[in-house]
Amino acid sequence: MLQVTRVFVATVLALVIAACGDGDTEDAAETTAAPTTTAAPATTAAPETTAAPETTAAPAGGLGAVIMELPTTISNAEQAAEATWVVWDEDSCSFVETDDHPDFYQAVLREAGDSGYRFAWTPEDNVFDTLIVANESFRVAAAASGADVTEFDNQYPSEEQPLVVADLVVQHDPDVVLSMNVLANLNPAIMSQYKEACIPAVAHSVPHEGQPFFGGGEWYAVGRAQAEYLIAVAEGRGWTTGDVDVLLCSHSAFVQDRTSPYASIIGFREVVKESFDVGDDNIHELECPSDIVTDQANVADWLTAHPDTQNIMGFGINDLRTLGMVNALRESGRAETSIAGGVGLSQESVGPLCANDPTFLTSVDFVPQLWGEYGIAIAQDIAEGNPIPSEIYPQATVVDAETIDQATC
Amino acid sequence: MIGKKPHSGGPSRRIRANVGGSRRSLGLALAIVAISIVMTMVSPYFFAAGNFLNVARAVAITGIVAAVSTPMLISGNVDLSVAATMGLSGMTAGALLVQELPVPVAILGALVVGLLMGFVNAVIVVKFQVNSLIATIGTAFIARGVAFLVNSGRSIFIPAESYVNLGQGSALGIPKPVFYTVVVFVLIGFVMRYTKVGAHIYAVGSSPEAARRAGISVPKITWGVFLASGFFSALAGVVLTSQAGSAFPYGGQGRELEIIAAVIVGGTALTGGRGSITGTILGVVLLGIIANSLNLVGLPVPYQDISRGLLLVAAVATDQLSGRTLGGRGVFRGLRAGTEES
Amino acid sequence: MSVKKGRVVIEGIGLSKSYGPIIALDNVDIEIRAGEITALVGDNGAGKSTLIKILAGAVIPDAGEVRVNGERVVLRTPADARDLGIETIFQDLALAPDRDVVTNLFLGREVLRKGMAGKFGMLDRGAMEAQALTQIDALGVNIPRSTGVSIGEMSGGQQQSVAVARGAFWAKTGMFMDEPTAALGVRESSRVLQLARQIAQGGVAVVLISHILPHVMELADRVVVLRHGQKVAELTEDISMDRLVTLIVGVDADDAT
Repeated sequence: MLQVTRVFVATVLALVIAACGDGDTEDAAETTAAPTTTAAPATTAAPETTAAPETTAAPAGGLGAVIMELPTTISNAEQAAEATWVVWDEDSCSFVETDDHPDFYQAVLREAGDSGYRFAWTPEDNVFDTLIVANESFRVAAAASGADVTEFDNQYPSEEQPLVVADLVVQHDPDVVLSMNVLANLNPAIMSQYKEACIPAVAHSVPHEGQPFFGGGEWYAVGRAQAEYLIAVAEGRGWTTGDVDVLLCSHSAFVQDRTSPYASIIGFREVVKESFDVGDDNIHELECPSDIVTDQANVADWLTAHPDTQNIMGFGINDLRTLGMVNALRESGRAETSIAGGVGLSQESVGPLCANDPTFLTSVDFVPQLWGEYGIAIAQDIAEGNPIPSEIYPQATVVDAETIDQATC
Repeated sequence: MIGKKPHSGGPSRRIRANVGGSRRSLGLALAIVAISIVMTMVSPYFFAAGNFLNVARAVAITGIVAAVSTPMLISGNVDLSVAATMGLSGMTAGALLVQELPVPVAILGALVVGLLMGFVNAVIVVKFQVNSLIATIGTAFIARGVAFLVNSGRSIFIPAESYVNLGQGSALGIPKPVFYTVVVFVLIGFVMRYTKVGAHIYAVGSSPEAARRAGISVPKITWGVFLASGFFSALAGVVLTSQAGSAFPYGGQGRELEIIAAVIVGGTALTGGRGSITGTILGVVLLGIIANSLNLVGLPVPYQDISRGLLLVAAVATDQLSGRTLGGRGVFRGLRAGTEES
Repeated sequence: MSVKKGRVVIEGIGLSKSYGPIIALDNVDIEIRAGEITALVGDNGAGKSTLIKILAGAVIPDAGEVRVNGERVVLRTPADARDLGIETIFQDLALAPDRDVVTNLFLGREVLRKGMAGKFGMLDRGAMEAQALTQIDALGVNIPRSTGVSIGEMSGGQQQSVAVARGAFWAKTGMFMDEPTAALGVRESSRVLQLARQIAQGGVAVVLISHILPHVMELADRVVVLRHGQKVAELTEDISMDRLVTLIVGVDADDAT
């Protein structure tokens, strides 16, 4: 149900974007997180404007009109200038670093035209919810752009199938392969097959040295975006720095650095300090082992020990933890003086957002429904010989009660 | 017949069962009082009705499963699939509610799944003679896997308000989950203390061979404790999902060790045959108060883990010092950890 | 007691039992009398335990029949024997070590309350305690009686006394004691044997298996000797140590019969 509606929305979106020609252009890269301008589908729609004029920017080679520009973040939230850019080198059958690149990368899906490019997508499986959505988005994007995309199922957790798939892909001989194999130990064998066959390969989900990486979510940026959203709400309610305490629901099981989902906590903390001037004494990191009810108990204890707090801004490392936090806030009678955000747009946030919950205000969508659009756009760039950053992430979108796709409710 | 006639002297003092357990309970009660006194001095927020209700709500779900794990351990078995059963039954309830089935049907479905888990565990332990520790580690993996399959790894936001209202909020000023826990404790405590079934569970755990020779059916008792374990774990899963407002496939994950720790701290022996529901209640409350205290004073998580571990080790060490050995008894049967009985 | 001393209450006729190629018991007849202590002696593997287990319902014979009070009975489980008032006291593992005397005395035969409470399986702890203490007092057994001390905390002799007291409590017809003193010291042994005598005097047919011949000679009214699965002698008088040893090991087999 959910995936069907998502795919439906993505399809409609793609078609609408493809159909409508012009409109106002706006910078989608940095400001998307601000709640006033945000909006899940709206964000992705922001660059919708693009259109024909941009096509001239695309190097000649047969690709047609721009269908969709996708908000993109790169290099684990370091800015483009600091990112490594690579370009496919046909002679060495490898990606090589290049300094000759634009300041800014944006994945742009274009019509296949008469390019004749053929792409391969090898998803982990066709069973997991996120991948059902992602695989469908490849079909949708291929249909919208006319690109020739073939899907090869890695049938996770099979240890053999990814190697079989690599053989099949080599026989198929596409111009670019987007390889999503999550069994890291198999990647050396798979990637050397592609190198031998001189097929440029993008690693998806699990990075592999020497290959460009197209990731799923980008935690650090997500944490920053949620902080910006909640600060805007707080300011709208007239809260001031002095009367706000920030509660972060994290878990000690995560590595406490930028490589894990904990990066969202780092990002959130940075923004509330920088933009809302909250001091470290008023930022409290609680242990939430993600059982919702245990998370609730821990937050409830903290609330008991801090009866004098006025307003609370809460953020959970994922939606489950945020729900536990919100349950505790409600049961302690603080629902009206608290706001909270989560991550993942899973059922724990879809429910409250659809119900217009007074406390659980926002979550972040990792847009697997647009992975196909991103993937094909990146593949088109590689096939065209354009430079791309060595790490690319779809820009996740902040979702709230207004912007949530009502069809998912 | 010898001695069937009334004896004029008569028993002068009542014989109490399980004096060792009473000593443990007294120790636990003292520990709870001691921690409470210290905490009252340390934190102004500890000694307040609201805080005690926090503790009660926090331990309610663990309490339900700890209650049923007590006869399980006393019978000389252990069920490590309780947490996975919580997750699976919760997902079952969620899936049925999403289909817009009535709330009682969803709860019934969850409880049936729990009984099914108990059934499977009992078959493996009784029919195939697999050690319960190993058997239930296996079924825990299976149940957890199935819980993930129910909704392709996604959780289910509970749409039925009447279901959520069973676990959220308070009645008579007391968090609702606490009521279910109290009922379960009273029920299981009654069975263990006052009924023939309870006496047989103790006997089977104390010496399966002696129980068998006395005409007690060891398989029947084993069946009973596993079915009960599945049923009440599923009930805990229902309470968990209604309190959370969401069914999630890893619901309850990691709680099995916390639960067994509470039962053992409460004086129930892994070697079987000994333990009491009173002790388990005190064990659950003690662990809950420690977690609450550390939260109130803001000590980081690692200290919670350390204190819980110390408490468990201390409790088991007391058992060892009082001359008990673990080899070959209770859940260690069939693990070749010591001398086999029989 | 109404049972007349010397009346045959338990009878085995032509009992045989084989385990694969090994013949454990070969066509043995035995009569056990009320009020007597019948000792069963023989070397290891002579068939003593097999015989006693058949009479206690723990082993089903390949051939032969068992009669209790003159009637032919089929004993499929120990419970069948217990229902006929036949109790067996084992060397060990008969008691639940974590439970107290009362619970052990009524293990598997708990007294339930009257009325609805009983239907729900509620124990009548008070009645069980009263009966247990009466029994302990009647036998004069030296065991802690005033608190719920678990069996495991008692000495070996006290534990065996509890087992004997339980057997005596339930035994209406016969009580079999399989090496009851094997794990006990001298004083404890003599206390247990004294109990056996006391129980026999109450009219119960007591069967004693023991390797300790002085005990046998001191206590038994009748001695049955088994060798290689066959009954080789039954003695009621002139029981001397030499004679018994000879019969058991079979050195001078011609004299035996």
